[in-house]
Amino acid sequence: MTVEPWRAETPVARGWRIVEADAAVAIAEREAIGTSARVVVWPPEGLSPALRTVDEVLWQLDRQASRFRFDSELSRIVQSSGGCFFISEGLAELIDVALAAARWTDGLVDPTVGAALVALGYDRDFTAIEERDDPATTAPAAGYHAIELNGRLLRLQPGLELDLGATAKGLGADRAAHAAHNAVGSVGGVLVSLGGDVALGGAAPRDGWPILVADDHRSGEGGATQLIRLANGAIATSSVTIRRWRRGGHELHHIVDPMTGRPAEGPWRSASVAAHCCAEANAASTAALVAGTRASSWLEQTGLPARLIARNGRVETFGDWPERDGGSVVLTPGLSGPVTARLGRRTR
Amino acid sequence: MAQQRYNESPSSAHDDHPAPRGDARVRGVSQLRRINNWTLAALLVGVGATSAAFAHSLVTTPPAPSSALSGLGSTSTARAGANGPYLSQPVATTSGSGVSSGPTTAAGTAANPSNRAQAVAISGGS
Repeated sequence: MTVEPWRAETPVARGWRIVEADAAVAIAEREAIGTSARVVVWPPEGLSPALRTVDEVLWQLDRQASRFRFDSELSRIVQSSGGCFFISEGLAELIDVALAAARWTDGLVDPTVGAALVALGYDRDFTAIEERDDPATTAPAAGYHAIELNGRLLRLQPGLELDLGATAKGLGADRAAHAAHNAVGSVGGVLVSLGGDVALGGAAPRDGWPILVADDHRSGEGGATQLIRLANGAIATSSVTIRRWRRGGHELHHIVDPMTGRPAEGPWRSASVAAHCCAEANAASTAALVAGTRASSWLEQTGLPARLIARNGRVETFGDWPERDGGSVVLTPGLSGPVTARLGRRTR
Repeated sequence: MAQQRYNESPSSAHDDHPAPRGDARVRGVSQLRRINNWTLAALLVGVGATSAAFAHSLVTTPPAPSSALSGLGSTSTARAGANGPYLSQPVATTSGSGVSSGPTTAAGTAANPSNRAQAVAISGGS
């Protein structure tokens, strides 16, 4: 294969692939934290520093919160079988945000679902999960009240397994977008997507960032997709149609109802929510799927722009979610929820 | 000013042979004046050039444009505008988080060997 000279010399961070770059915008992608990361920057000259910064943020996130890294801070704590820990500022923020999400959703999203996921067989990186004939066991979550966090002091009950997935990836996108925008001198704007959790930093392009809303971030196809434009904040989508595996003859997925310890069985296959920060957007979209038949009332109560897709393909929208393709999702300051507020307090 | 200083120099005050050495002194003084003028001119040019260089670096604040990036092919999804570009095509997709089996971040390496994991992931609800 002939490598064009400019591509060989492209000074982007190692591991990134340039998807597109022209006079106005640059887009790069890489595999990271078990999914794909995408960074979009305008003006395009800021791409290299943005990518280096995103790499650093993801590396930190991985070291702090990965369930599957034996040397991550979270793994070391869980292996200690409970007790009191003085944790890093980064992990403290992740747990603090996870607890804020749990309180906000009244436990629909709960960081103590780690044991439930392990019992279902999601005890390793997803790509390493193999089909097994023995039935999965269920382990209802212990409940977020079992976690005590005071600043950087964490107290865990013995046997508690944490999974920060519902908020950590979103918070990672928030951190990355913010840091990348700083890295480019706060010029222009940055979009960071971690497996479909999208956070924005800086100024949006004219008429907002055009974002496709879909079930699976790799497909981008199907009748339920919609193009929206986002000028600020973040957007996240949760879906039960992906990250599925078979165990004991049953198909399982990773959106777990903390109350039952089983995969959520509501009428919705996908939920997309826009919020002022991606951690909040992801918490809300996950909560909507777990809420099942109560999802509509819960989303209406938040006031956030949201879109649900039922298992039969029916689409239902909430808040100021645009009906038409290409419409803008508008986030007013009043829509800032408790997760965003928590994040703001910690970063000040 | 410079000439006066040279005239008041100790060597001129204790000169035992002023007549034969007078011309030499005048030539020396003239030479020194010329050198001084050239030094002054060089200093002025140097200060000017340095100021210009600083001013230039202050004006071009963002990261230096990458020649490699500017050579990339465009898919014409964007055109520059006064308040940022207008992007006509989607630049990202929000969806349930798919799975990749590729490597983790550039710096990340180790996954749990007992789990035979090839990549690390923040799992859970999305």
